[in-house]
Amino acid sequence: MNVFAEQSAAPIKSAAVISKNIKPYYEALEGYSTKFREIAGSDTEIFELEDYDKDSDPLSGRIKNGGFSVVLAIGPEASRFISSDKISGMVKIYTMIINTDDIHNQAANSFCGVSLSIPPAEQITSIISRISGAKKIGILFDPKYNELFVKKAETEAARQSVRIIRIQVNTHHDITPALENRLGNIDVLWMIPDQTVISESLVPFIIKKSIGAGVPTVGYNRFFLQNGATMAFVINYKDIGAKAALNALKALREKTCSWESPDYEIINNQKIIDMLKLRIKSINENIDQDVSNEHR
Amino acid sequence: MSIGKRAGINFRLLSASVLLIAGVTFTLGFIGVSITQNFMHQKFADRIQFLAKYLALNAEVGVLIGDRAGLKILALNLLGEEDVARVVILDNQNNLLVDLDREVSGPLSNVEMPVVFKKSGDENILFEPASGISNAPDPMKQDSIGKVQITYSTHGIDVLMIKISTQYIVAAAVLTALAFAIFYYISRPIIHEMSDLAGVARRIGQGYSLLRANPGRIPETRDLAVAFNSMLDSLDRSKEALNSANRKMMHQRILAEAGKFSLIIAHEFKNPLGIIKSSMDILKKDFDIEKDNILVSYVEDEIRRLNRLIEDFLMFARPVDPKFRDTDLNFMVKDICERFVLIYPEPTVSFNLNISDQPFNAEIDQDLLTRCITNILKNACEASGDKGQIFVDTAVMDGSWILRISDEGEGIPETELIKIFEPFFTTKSKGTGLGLSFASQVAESHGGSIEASNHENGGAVFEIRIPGYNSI
Repeated sequence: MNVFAEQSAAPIKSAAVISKNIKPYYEALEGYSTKFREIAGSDTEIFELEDYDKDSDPLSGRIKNGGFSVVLAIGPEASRFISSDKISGMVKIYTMIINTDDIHNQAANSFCGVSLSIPPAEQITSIISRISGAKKIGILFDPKYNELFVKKAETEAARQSVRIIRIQVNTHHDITPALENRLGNIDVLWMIPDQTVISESLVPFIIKKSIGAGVPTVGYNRFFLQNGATMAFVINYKDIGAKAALNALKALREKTCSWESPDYEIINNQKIIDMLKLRIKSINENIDQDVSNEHR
Repeated sequence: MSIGKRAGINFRLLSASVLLIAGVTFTLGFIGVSITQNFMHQKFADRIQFLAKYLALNAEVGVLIGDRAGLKILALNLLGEEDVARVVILDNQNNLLVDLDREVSGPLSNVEMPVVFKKSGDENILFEPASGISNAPDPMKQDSIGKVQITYSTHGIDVLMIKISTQYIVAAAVLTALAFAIFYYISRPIIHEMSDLAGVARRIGQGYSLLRANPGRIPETRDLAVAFNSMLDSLDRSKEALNSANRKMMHQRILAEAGKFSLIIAHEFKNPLGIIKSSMDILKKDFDIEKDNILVSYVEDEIRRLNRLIEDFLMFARPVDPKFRDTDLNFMVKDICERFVLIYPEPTVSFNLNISDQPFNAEIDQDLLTRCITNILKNACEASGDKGQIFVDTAVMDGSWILRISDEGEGIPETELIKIFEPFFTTKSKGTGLGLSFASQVAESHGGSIEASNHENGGAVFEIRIPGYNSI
């Protein structure tokens, strides 16, 4: 049933700006447009940022003069683009971004949507509730990028009676000695998005090192599971899109909106669990079945 | 004189074939070996490139984290590969991370491959900072984070190429020799037969005109020899015809001269003889000389003989002008022979006639032809002496009437066979040498011919051939 059809004669026009032509963004877009059509009864017009020049005035003009009531930004580049003053007079919803602070500083007015970042408190809770005996959680990070996050995590860990063990690196070269120094002193290695630490080739190496030391690793997407992580927080991008659509419609209706965390599922890698002889609480599935234990 | 001018066709053909085959073989071989060499070098370089790529791929983490020990293990593994002489791994600041080498002989080449930072997959891109957001230097965005260098030896390929080249040269030499042998085997009989032909031609040139080329076994040279022989035969025929024409011309000239001479002599002698005869008759009358006076009879005999001689001269000297009439030749010959039997009755000679009863008609001058045949029959009788037979046969062949007169005398010497129809040629003590010459003239005036030969059992054979029209 079209809720908005009763309130407004004209259909609500929605636009979506995508940062890059990658699958997760399109999954988010599909979730958004499906949910938006379901509720508002109108399709979403899609703009791919890569099709336009940088700081593209034609794209700004098209969105500004398109008669859109709401514009959705998918990804950090698209978020930076719609946060500028060039685009105004419509509800702006941001999604699929990790570091919201950069965008928030630029956004002139309301800044809301669905982030990619799972709150550290939730992650710590999940880790200690699942991995038995996880008292010392090691975080491999570069302070240049993640000092703030680690501080939040330390505060939250203290609240939950566990310790965060800082494994700080400033360059790639620091990774090996840092791990060698700290792996013997932690119960679990928690990997967070970090420019210095995370790469397609470093992740398998780090996980291998960690497994070698008998330490389970926790990652934040399926890639970690495929490379031997014990557990991973896997975000459902379609759900993020759907959540962003609801957020947008709420903003249109109530003239107010908020930031929301993404929905995710926690997936275990049973093979690694067996290999490391870990005790995992409430395990109902493994990676092969690809079903979450806990769905928020 | 240069060797090219002196060299025979066999040498030239063999040289050309060997040069051509050797040239083609070696050219193709050279091209083939070059292509193989390039291909092998390319393949080898590709293999080393692949190894370098593989090393660069595996060295990514080691270069990123500066894990020299791990990189050294990788380099050592690669150094275990055949022909690899040195492995160097550098970071993007060109700091040496690994440098291992070993002793390898031969020329060295280098391959360099960048160590590329693996791009993030879709899921990891999401968690990277937005492009342009961070002002901090971003080493992860650099494509190349270092490089690997592999030095390798091409000694193995060079050794292999020398081996291939050697094998090829041997094969090409064998092939050339084989081609030479095959070509020699094929060309030898051709050349041999051509040499034979040339030898025959040379000997013919030296005067052995009756020699003929051996046709041989090869169709082409056989055709050549046959054509050569035909040419010689044709030349012989032409020569014979020329000689014959020359003989005829000489004969005609002699006849003309003899005719003139005979006419003069005959006329000059005929009047004095007439006077002598008349005077002799007057003397016999006036002096009442007896008829059997031996001296007078000698004079009269000699006057008669001289008169006959003059008549013969006149007969020969006058141009033959036949008066043709349709005549049955077989009947005519029978009639001549019957008359002749009366002149030469048995047992002096016997006539063996084998004359066809079928008439054979032709346009002839009966008087001339009768005198011609009579001359030959007279010669045959004289050659037989008081014994033997005269065979007279007639036949028809190719539309011509043939009269063959054979005797059982001593025959005609081979050296005289070609002269017997010449005027004034005679073997008799009292002959004029004009009888057979006259007979020849008559035969030719009828479009026919007369030939003399010897019978294999002895005796002469005269054959008169007169063209006729269809017998009835």
